[in-house]
Amino acid sequence: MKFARTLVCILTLSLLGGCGVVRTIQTINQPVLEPASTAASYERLKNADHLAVEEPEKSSGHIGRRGELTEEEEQMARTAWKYFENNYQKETGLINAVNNYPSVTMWDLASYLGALVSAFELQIIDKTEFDNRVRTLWRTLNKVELFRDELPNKAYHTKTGAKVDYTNKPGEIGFSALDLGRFLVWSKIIKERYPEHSNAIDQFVLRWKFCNVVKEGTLYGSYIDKESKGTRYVQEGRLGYEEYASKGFQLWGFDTWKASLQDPYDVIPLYGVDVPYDTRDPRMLSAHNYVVTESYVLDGIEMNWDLATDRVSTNHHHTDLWAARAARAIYQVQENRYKATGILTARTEHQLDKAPYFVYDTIYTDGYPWNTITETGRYVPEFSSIAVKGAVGLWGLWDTSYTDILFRAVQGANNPEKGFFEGIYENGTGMIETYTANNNGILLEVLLHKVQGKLLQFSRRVSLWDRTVENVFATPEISSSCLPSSELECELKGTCEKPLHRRLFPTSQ
Amino acid sequence: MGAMRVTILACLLFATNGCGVIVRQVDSRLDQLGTSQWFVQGRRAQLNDDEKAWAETAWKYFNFNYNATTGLVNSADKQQLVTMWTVADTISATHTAHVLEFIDTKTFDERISTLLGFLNGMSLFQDRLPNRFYDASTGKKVDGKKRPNEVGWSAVDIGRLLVWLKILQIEYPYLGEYVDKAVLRWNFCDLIDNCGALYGGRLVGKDVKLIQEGRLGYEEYAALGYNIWGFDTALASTIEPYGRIRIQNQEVFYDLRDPRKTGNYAPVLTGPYLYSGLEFNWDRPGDISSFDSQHSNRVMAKLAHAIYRAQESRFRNLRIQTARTDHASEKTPKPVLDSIFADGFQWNTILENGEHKPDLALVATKAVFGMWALWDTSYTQQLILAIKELHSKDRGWFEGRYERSGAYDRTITASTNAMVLEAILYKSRGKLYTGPNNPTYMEALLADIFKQPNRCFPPERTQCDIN
Repeated sequence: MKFARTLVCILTLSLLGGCGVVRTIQTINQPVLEPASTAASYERLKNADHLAVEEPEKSSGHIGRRGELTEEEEQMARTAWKYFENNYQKETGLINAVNNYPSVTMWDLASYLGALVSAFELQIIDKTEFDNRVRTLWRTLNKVELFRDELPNKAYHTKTGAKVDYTNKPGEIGFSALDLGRFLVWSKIIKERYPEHSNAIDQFVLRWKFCNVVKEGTLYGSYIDKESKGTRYVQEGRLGYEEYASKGFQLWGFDTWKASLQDPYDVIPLYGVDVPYDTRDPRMLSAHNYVVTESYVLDGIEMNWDLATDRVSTNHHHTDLWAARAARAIYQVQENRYKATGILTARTEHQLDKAPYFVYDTIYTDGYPWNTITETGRYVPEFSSIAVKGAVGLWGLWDTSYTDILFRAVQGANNPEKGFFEGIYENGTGMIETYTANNNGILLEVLLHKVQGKLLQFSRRVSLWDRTVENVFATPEISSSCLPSSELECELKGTCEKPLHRRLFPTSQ
Repeated sequence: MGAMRVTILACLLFATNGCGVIVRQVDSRLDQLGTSQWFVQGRRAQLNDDEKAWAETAWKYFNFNYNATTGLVNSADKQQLVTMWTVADTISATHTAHVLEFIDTKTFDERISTLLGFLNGMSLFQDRLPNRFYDASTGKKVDGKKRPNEVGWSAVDIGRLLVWLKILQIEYPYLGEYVDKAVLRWNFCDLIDNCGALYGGRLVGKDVKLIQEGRLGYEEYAALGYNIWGFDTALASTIEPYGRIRIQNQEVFYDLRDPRKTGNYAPVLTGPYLYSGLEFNWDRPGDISSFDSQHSNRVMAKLAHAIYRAQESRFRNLRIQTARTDHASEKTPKPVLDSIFADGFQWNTILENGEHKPDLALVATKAVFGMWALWDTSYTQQLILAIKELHSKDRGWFEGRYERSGAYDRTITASTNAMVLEAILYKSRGKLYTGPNNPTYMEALLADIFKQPNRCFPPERTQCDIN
């Protein structure tokens, strides 16, 4: 249709004559490359929908909510930090992922690192405590057993530092590429901000063998085959999380070109917003294609929706255009749902205080908008919630009257002695009375972002990792770890150029 | 539009009513004019030999599976189980066979009269309505496993039967009285409410559980049956509540009642739109004069076109031949909901319990013939090529060709073979329902308030108050 219409326009216009006019058409047909303006999406919204839509930021980008913390916000930060005081394991430096439950994943550990940096930068803790916590943690990490000598296991016991299975008993499960990706983001942030800790951090990552986690630019997780007990590697990550975790690996020099592609995806129109979702079929594959807030918020807070290679652009520019636009859609559709239904919406995956203990509380998944499902795909709408980390994340990145309301909804959802609750049930049956490292960590990150902007700041200092990767005469152990090849090496092999087919978002009709 | 057509014809005739030759020429031109795309929907022309042979093959099914004592035809090859849907298929097929002269009038009359005898004598569910299943050989009420039992009724099956009883009454006025007498036995009180919502009944223990029946597509089609018998069908006829989804760049409408809450997967299927196209031309039931190319129920026509175009576009873009609807299967006794959209997914093939069965997707013979008759396009021509050998010479048409492998699903059903006959009859005649008819026995009876049966027939009802 669009083609036909353009054709008609061209015909009509060429009848009218004038090269200038033709030039206009050419410009129109150029992909719009202005950073961060979701202009097309807004046009469509304005035309298609009765819902009032705020004008997109006039500047070339936006930086969300910035400024010094108010007293209220400082108090919130201190409350959130309480969680990490209560759940700190002195012997190992590890932190419980869920209140009083001595188990942790690499994802939750990364959230803790976010909390730790924020607590220090917001002057909740001093340099001594910060250093102490960092050193104790990496002392443990540099000793922990890896999953089959390959990569960190999915879970560790926080008191002993032993690898554990899903019941927190000594054992092993496999590794998660998404968890490792997020951990790599935070390892990078800390080593760039505090080069004094860079050695220990690099030593840990140098223990990893990357041969199976990044292959042909795709991320793989692993699990143990029930019968053969062998390790199975499966593609891991769906739109949003996959791209976010990829950036973690990219920051350490790995090439994740295929995981970083948005495809395969499609958009579903909800309340006048085209919401992107992963089209890998949840009926055929065991992974749900959930669309939630978290990965887009983390990308915005930590990396400003910039490309991993971008070390220079300001907070006003988002060099990962697609991520910025997708995030905007994720925000807008939730605001529009509120305007259309009166239900405050900040959806993401979260913990519960009762069985089934965990839900994907989504904007869209498995064929349905606003679907809330368990890990097995059971529909459990009674657990739909305003997730605190989702609400605060949206508040930090979009300075609007809607996020003001979200903020007011969740700011009191805490126990000053224990930290912030996980969320508030949409059906009005109160709060999810459970506390997690992830929720409180993300809240602290968002508050630090308000003060400092993009959390990843580059030092441009040399590091053990960089020098090791560059060293073509590396020791045999290191060269068998599939570390990223140096630029020299890829030039020699001619593998530096990768197919690049990024699509602009949203898809044009 | 009807008036306009008559006017054009009249003008042409007046202008040329000279000698016989000219009139004959004009006549033949009028024939061509009459089958041009200006006036017709779909593939309309004299039948060629191939098409007659296709129809005759389909009729073989009804011959082979005929039960002479009851007048019933099995719902699937050699399976002596029937529903009211099958009875409707039987009437439709027998009528078509008569029109196309596969059977003479005597055979037609004998078969239909035996069937009317059955309908007027069959034991009803709780003396109220046709039971969901009957044994085709004995005419006894049975359950789904053919054990003597009564289980409830289906409002959608009865809806389709009402369509074909009405067509029978219109086409053969001398049988109209006996048709009315069969329908007058029924009790409509729980079947359809005053505003037209349709309810199926299911026997649970000793109680009859009423369940709103029908989802977008079959609900609207079934409503037509009740509508032409005088019922207000506002709630069933409206397409509300509906959602819209873009499939292959076509906006396809689906039922918004949430399968996760109701357990009814509400699939988008081609079938119901084919029936309402072939039988009613997507017109309002009262519309008997407009051109076939005009659809006075524009909404249904729009929905039908979108479903057709989504399938055609799937072929154009992905090169997957697509003609989908609900069908039987040789691999499961349960009906396969081979959909355009269901339960959140495009091109979803599921069972009634939602179980995902992508391997059972077919290029369905039923859907191909209906689409071929209603859309005269190169795509439907190609679809015909894909299925035209899918039949057994003496038993009728197979259910379809597997999308996954190209192999045949050799199930043979009344439903598919009746659709083949309907589609071919439509090609030669246009829409099959040509009512309304002359005053009927039922109207005369119901006009007398002392003779009203008190079973919620239209004159016995209070008006729907939501309008």
